[in-house]
Amino acid sequence: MSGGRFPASLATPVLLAFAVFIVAPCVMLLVKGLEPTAETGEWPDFTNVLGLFDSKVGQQALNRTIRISVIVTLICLVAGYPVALFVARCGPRWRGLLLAVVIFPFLISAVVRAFGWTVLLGDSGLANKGLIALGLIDRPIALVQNEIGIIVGETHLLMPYMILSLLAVLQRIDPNLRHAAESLGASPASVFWRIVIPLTLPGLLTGTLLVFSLAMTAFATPFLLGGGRTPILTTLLYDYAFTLFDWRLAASIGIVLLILGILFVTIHRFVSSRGMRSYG
Amino acid sequence: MSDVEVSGVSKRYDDLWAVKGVSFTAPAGSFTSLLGPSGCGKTTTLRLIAGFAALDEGEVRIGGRSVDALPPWRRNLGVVFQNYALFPFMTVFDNVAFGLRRRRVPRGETAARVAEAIDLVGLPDLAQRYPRQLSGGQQQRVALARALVIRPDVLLLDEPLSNLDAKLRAEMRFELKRIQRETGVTSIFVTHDQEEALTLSDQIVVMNLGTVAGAAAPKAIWERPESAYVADFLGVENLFPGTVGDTAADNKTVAVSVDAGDAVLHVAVDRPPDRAVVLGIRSGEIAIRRGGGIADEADGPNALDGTVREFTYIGSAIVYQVDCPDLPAPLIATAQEQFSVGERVRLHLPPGAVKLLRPDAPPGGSGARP
Repeated sequence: MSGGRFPASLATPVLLAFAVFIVAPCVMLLVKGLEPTAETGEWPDFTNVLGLFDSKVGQQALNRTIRISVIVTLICLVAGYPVALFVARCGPRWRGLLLAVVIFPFLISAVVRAFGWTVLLGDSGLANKGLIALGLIDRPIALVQNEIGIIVGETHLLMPYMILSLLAVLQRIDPNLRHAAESLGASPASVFWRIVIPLTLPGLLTGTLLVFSLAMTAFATPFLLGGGRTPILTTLLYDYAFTLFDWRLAASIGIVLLILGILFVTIHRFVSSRGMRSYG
Repeated sequence: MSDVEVSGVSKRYDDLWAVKGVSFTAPAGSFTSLLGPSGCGKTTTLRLIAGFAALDEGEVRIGGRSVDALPPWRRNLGVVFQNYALFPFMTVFDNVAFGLRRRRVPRGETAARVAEAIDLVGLPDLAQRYPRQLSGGQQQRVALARALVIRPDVLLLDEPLSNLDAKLRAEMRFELKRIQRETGVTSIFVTHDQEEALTLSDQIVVMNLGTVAGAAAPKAIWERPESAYVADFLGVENLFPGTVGDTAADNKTVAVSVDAGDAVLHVAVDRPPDRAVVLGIRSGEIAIRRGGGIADEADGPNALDGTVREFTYIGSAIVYQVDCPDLPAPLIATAQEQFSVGERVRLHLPPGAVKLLRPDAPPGGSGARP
């Protein structure tokens, strides 16, 4: 595409849709969430947003949301990296098949996936039976309807984002770089830590951004696998909006999520720009 | 400094032999070129020496010791790649220091040796730059410094000049020669460019279809190529299959009749040739005169009549394509003098300039079937 020749009018419909369906809801969210509680109060009123953290439920939900997102991101990173490495080194014939397996979680509905995990992680499910058979536990432990269930479900759902982000950069690595490092005396482990990891840093950062923000805003999976006693911000928001019909409180949770998201993206951009200075 | 002995090395990819029974020796401190068209197995041979791929047959010995069981990171070889393969996220200094750090060389010594290597390859003070901020020629020098700083037993170069423009390539050729002479490191250089091979090498190994087609010093291989393939690759433009006939009374020349043509050429020989040969002569060794005007020697046995079909001006000379009724294909000859298309000329092929070559497979192709 040669620069200025591109007619701006072609982008107008989508930009308009963005304005209507993204900017407008954000504005409405702020208007509603910062609405004064008392008749006499003035807009903006931060009582609700701040009050959220005074309540035990709100405090727990916030902590749990951040904790789960961090754990899920770490699991996806540590478990996804070897998978991405393996797929990248496979021949083209196997790579296609493995890629299909990797993106398979996307093809199943959240309800079916959650139901599957409920069966597997339940008291008489495969996981508990296996752990008992191995002698690691005496009686079934709770693996679902709690944080473990949410973490398992979200990891399953978000793993493909990490693997695909890593794969995109791994496949572009010039094999001569590995050979050059080897010829200079680097063992395979040294090549991995000193050459492969730095070269995949861009994909690593993209994958982390995607997985963390999606984990933080996931709703269906934590709703179905978390049970009622482990609210996170999104499920709490749902409760306020559709059970208690307290739209103001629901909107203030939305504002907290928005702030968390912006905060994470800002930190991420800062880390990326420092880490990738040398990539040009 | 170590010699490299490659003996009977073969490498198969699926059912295709990329390299089959390759043998040559690179003496310690020498510069050896592997010369051939793409797909002839020269790069595969280099990769087998470096250990990037495992060989299926044969043995590679460096300094008299077999390295086949050693992984690349224990072979102590310097490798320069066609695309330089510099680590993009490291500064020039860190790139060059990489091999020293893997060898746990103390910090102070590392800094000194990096500076020395950067100086050796003639790089200006760019140590804190990143590779993408350098020109192609500078990247090339960094790659050389990185390979040499570890004081390798052998320096392996995989077409290191082919990504440079013509002027820089000529300059880097001299630089490479100087650096190799100063360090005295045994070097093996892969190229498809006969000029590079001739100017740089002590020994040229010409490869074809995964095998060695001929190996000799540049002057020897230029003046007396063994086979038609080697001659063709080293720029002998005129090649005609022929059959050896009578030997002259003094045993110094033989008469060779050109197959599929009426010409009979007399060729100087120092030993009795085989019956089936290929006659070869470089364009510059053919004398062209205007038709009928050839005096004394040209009226001898190796004078041919012809008609100018086409010519091209190349600056230093004019290259003519001449149709000769007695030859199966047009003859390529160069001259300073201008002839016009369609003009009748006489050509003289001095008996000492015509080479008798061993016939073999035509050039090109990619790998031999097992």
